[in-house]
Amino acid sequence: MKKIYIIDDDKDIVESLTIVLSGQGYEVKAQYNEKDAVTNVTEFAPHLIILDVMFPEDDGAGFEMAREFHQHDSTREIPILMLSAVNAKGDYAGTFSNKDRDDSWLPVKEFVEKPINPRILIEKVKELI
Amino acid sequence: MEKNVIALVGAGNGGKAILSDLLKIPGAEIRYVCDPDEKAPGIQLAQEHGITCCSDSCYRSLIQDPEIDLIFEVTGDDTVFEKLVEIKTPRCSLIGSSGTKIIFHLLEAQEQIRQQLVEYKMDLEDKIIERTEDLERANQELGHKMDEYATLNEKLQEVNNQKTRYLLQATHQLKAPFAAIQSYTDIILEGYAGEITDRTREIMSKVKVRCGLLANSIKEMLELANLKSCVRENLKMEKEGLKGILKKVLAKTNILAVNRNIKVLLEDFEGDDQVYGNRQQLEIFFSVLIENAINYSHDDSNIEMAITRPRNVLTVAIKDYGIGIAPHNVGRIFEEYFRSNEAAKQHTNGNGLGLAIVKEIANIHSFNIEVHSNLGEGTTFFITLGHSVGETNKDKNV
Repeated sequence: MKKIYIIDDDKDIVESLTIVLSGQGYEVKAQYNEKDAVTNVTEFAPHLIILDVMFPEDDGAGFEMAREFHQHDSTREIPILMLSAVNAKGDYAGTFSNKDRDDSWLPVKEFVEKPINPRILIEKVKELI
Repeated sequence: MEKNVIALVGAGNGGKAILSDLLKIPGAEIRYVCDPDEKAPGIQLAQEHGITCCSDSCYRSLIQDPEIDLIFEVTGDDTVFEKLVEIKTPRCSLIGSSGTKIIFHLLEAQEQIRQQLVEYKMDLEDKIIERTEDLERANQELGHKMDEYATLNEKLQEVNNQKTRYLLQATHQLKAPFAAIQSYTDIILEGYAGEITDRTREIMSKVKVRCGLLANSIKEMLELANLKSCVRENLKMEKEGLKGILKKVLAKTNILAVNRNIKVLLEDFEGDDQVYGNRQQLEIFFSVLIENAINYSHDDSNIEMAITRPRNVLTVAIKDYGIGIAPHNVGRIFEEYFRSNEAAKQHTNGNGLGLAIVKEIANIHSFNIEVHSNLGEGTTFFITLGHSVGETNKDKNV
């Protein structure tokens, strides 16, 4: 069974993701803040990380965590799917454009915008694992 | 300047008076004053000014000096005048008592005028000083007022920025729980949370539609707040192909038009006109204008779009044959949340923010928008984007 680790402070979004992904046969585990993310991910050893951008303590904590995962041997190879509450027209649109998706700056494979559309989510997860 | 050499014959009171006036003339050199009376008042005055005085009745000094240009005879004695006629050189002019009297009066009048002029000049100078002081005071007061206005303006700007920040925070906070509601709705509707009845599906579909409308309002509130806090200098501005932007927007809005059998006709879509601006904002700008043209058109009608370059100025015209705008509302359509009764009836899902967003983007880019509309006949938006070749709106003032 393939494993997915979700990091998002919004418990409702985590629950939505869990309902959809569990229904597709994935083993899902989540944490609701940015603490000890590398240790927790290393321990769970998921096939995919789903990561939110904005956290209450820090607007761009998701980006920092993605860079941290990229720096550690135990997490570097795990693909990251990023969640964003802003759509393609919003604040982070430029961040996700192809020219900015540089592994050293933003090691993210894909992004899914909120609200989560179940079919798009499943499509993107299947592309990555 | 070469001076006229003058001799005065007769130094009584009349002679003294004319001597006083002659002494004031810069071009006159009074060389001789003659009178048999060595104590005559004119003689004393002449001596005070170092003028040669002579008392002999033969006027030897005058005969011996060929440089004398003019003799004033002020004695009133005809024999003296005749004597002077005899002895003067041909080049020397002689003015008798009556002529001298006239000249004296002229000189007196001139002196009076001069004094009046001096008084007038002094009065004028006083007035200039007074007005200058008034102006300086007014200027200082104006400076104080300007400082006060600048401070007030800064405070207003800060309040406005604060309001925009609160609005941004509030809309961001609204967006997150709303995204969760929409996610749950999709999960239920698409059966990921188990089987649902047709009635539940019907109700959840309505929830989804209303969520979509509200999400759109939140998105537009957020866009407007972002635009209001936008600093042009921090914005990524580049030359963008106008045709590419319009085609992308038209592809996105096409479904709205197709659903109501509205045809968007493109005129003069050749060429590769460039517009200087922020790509994301340019797409929002034209999306709102084209969506509005569709939303306020009648079913089965046409929308005409044209790119023109009158006097080398790039202009886009978007013309619909829809409900139009009443004359008294044309000036209000760019106000936030303004919706005319006709607009609210025609397009129930609007929120009155679209054209406020358009206005903000136009301000940031120095675009000019003109609206021509007739109620019941349709509306045309003329958007001036800047010069079509080389120079663009980059060089225009906001």
